[in-house]
Amino acid sequence: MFQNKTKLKSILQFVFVFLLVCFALFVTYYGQEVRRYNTTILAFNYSYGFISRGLLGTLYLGLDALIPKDIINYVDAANITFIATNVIMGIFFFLALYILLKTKEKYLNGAQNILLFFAIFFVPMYYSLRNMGRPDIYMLFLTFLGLILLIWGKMEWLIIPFSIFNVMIHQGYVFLFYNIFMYPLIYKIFQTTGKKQKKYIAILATSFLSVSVLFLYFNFFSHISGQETYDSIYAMAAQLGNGGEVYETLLTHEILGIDPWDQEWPQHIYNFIELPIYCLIMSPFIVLGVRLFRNIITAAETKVDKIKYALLPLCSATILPCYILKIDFGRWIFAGLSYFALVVLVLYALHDEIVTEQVEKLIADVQARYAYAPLLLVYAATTIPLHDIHINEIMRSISEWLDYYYLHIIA
Amino acid sequence: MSDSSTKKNFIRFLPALAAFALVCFIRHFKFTMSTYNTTLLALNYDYGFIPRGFVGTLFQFANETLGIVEWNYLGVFNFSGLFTVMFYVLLFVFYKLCLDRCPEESKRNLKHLLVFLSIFAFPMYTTSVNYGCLDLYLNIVLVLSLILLVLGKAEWLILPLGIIGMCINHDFIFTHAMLIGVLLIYKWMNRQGKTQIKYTVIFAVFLISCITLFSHFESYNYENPKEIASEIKVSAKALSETGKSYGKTYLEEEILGKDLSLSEERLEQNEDNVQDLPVFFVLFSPYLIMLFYLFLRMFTDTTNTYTKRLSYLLLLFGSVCILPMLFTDVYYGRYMFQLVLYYIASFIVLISLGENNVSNHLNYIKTDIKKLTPLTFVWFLYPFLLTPFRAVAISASIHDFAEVIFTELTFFIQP
Repeated sequence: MFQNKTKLKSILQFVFVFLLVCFALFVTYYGQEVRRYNTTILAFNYSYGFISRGLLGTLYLGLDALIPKDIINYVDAANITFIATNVIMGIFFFLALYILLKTKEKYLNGAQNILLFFAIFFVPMYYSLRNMGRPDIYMLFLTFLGLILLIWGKMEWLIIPFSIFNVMIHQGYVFLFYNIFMYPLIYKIFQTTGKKQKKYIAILATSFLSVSVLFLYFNFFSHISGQETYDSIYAMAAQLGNGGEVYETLLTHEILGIDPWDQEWPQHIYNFIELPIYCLIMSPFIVLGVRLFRNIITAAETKVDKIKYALLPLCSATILPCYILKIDFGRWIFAGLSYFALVVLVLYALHDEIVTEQVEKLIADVQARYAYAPLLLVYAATTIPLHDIHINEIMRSISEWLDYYYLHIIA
Repeated sequence: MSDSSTKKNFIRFLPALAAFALVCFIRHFKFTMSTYNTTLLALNYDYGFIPRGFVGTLFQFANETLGIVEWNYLGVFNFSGLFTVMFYVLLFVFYKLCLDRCPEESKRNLKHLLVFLSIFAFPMYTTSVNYGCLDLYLNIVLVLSLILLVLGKAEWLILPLGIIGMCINHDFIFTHAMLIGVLLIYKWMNRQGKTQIKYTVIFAVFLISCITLFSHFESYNYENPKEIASEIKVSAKALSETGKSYGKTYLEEEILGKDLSLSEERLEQNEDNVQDLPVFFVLFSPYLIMLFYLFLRMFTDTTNTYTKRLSYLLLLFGSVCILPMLFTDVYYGRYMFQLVLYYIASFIVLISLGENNVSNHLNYIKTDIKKLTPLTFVWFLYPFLLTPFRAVAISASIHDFAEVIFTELTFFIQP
């Protein structure tokens, strides 16, 4: 692996720049606060039964029992979240390094560009006010570990428990991040034959079935706890929240099973306004993405290959139900971005010639043709950090402005 | 690349920058203007030929004579909006002019410099702290002067522009005039005959008028300071967002002549400055290294004439004019913006004037950077993360980081 000195030098130079940018992103967007949505979830645990979103709280309680210090308070919850976020960032850097080491030297430029593009969204997302401590980052943690195994090609069966744990963290995983495992597994099924192929079919089928069953259970059968459980979780959430703040909507939805649709309707309106405008703002990237996948499918020679590559953009459609039913569009957009960035990076590491060559061609074309190409990364950075209900700060400004002057939904 | 695709690419460049400007505006604009900036519009020449009275007089003219703005917060807000738009339009006129004048072989470098300048300039005057501040008007004057210098026509207009700049804010002599002055000297050193005499005259008159006005404003004594201060206070309150607030510090210090250098607020601001500045230089050190390396290359290039090399040296050290501001005032965010603008804009002007030498050395630097760092585009992204520059604090992220280093010593959340 280290025989090629020029490759190693190039990777090390990139790592320096990459860490510098990530540090600047951290310094700029670190909010030094964990908000009530993300502290309340730590009060959910399995002492109340096998409830949805209970895994993180159970682990937190376990940690409380393990260490001599009482950590059921906001400051400790926030600092433990900060430490956990840093650890997960560390795993992300390891994954990035591993992908670069596995990538062919001539394709390093493309992989580095994608990594940087992903980091621009990923790092500020989970250090900024709205999303620090979100269950999403813990799901991404297990996803990163699973991807390392998929690239390594060993112990890939661990993807099954990783997927199960992720649904136990948050049942929305099925729509948000499961596709990051799903496509590489489908890809490997296409690429292999015989026993190996059967192995990947078994991993995909088992993980898919388990997450589906768990999703159905958590979504339809676990909201049976009564007022007593609600009061108990509320009391603990108040201890963990900054200034005793609790995210009541989460409690009433997950514990009492009250549908938040009516309460969330104005926010749905905001989302519907913001999405087309956001797509317009991000249209340079959308155009490039569409061009890339069109080129990839065209470059594939056989019908089977064409299907294999057509499935790549299609698997991102698992996120669609979230757009229709739920309100956190900022998170859904990040999930979509993560899917494309991580899956293409995995294909780089797995030496897929068609995808890597097309990405390289696209990047080279953009850099050669457009003098404003350096602006693309900066332009992407104007849209960060992604929020939750509002997609980002720009979208918040626009939708609030429209609401104030024309729509009068909330204002 | 074919001619048509080059032309297409050229046409796409400015709209791409305009889209970036629009996104920056939506991101940072908060529909609010600080009390300090509204108070400055209450100053006008009714009280005599006072310092910083020009913009207020212009506002008064727009209100009383033209009747296009009201004498209230909405009025100052719209008035500032008008000039903010004017600044961005002029910036684009400047860009277009530079692109038109630039030799074909230097065009790519010029575009990269324009992108780099935009990263700092676009968000600068859209934030609530800098929206409508006097520096905006000074930069309008500066951009107009640069346009004239690139055009090479009606350059004598720099003289009235310089006078207007001094009347807007006499700090102009330290923060903005240096760029105009250095470029005038550059033109003077690299021209001959009548043209050289023209630049000698323009530079001399420009310098003398700036110094004269600076002496006047700096030593200006209000005849009835208490009376004027209370009148301005009433006007300033009427112009503020709440209708009740005004820039108390400004009135006390500038009109009543109180020494506030040891006030709690000023000491805190000084402390912030002292903390922010080293962090700024450390975070921007890669660019400082690039800058010195570029100047070193240009200065040691023996193919250049002695005069040219001397003019490069002057360009490098011309920025020291800003030093007095760093010692006497607290708006480090604005000064650092001017410092950045000074170097980038001077390179832009030189390349637009057909200085292939600068462009060639810039190419060498870019090649060296490419060898050292794989993704050169990062050098555009990185400063964007540390902007927009503010007023007292250099930028929010630089200030927060400096706080952690010097005060909190930890990123952990405190009880």
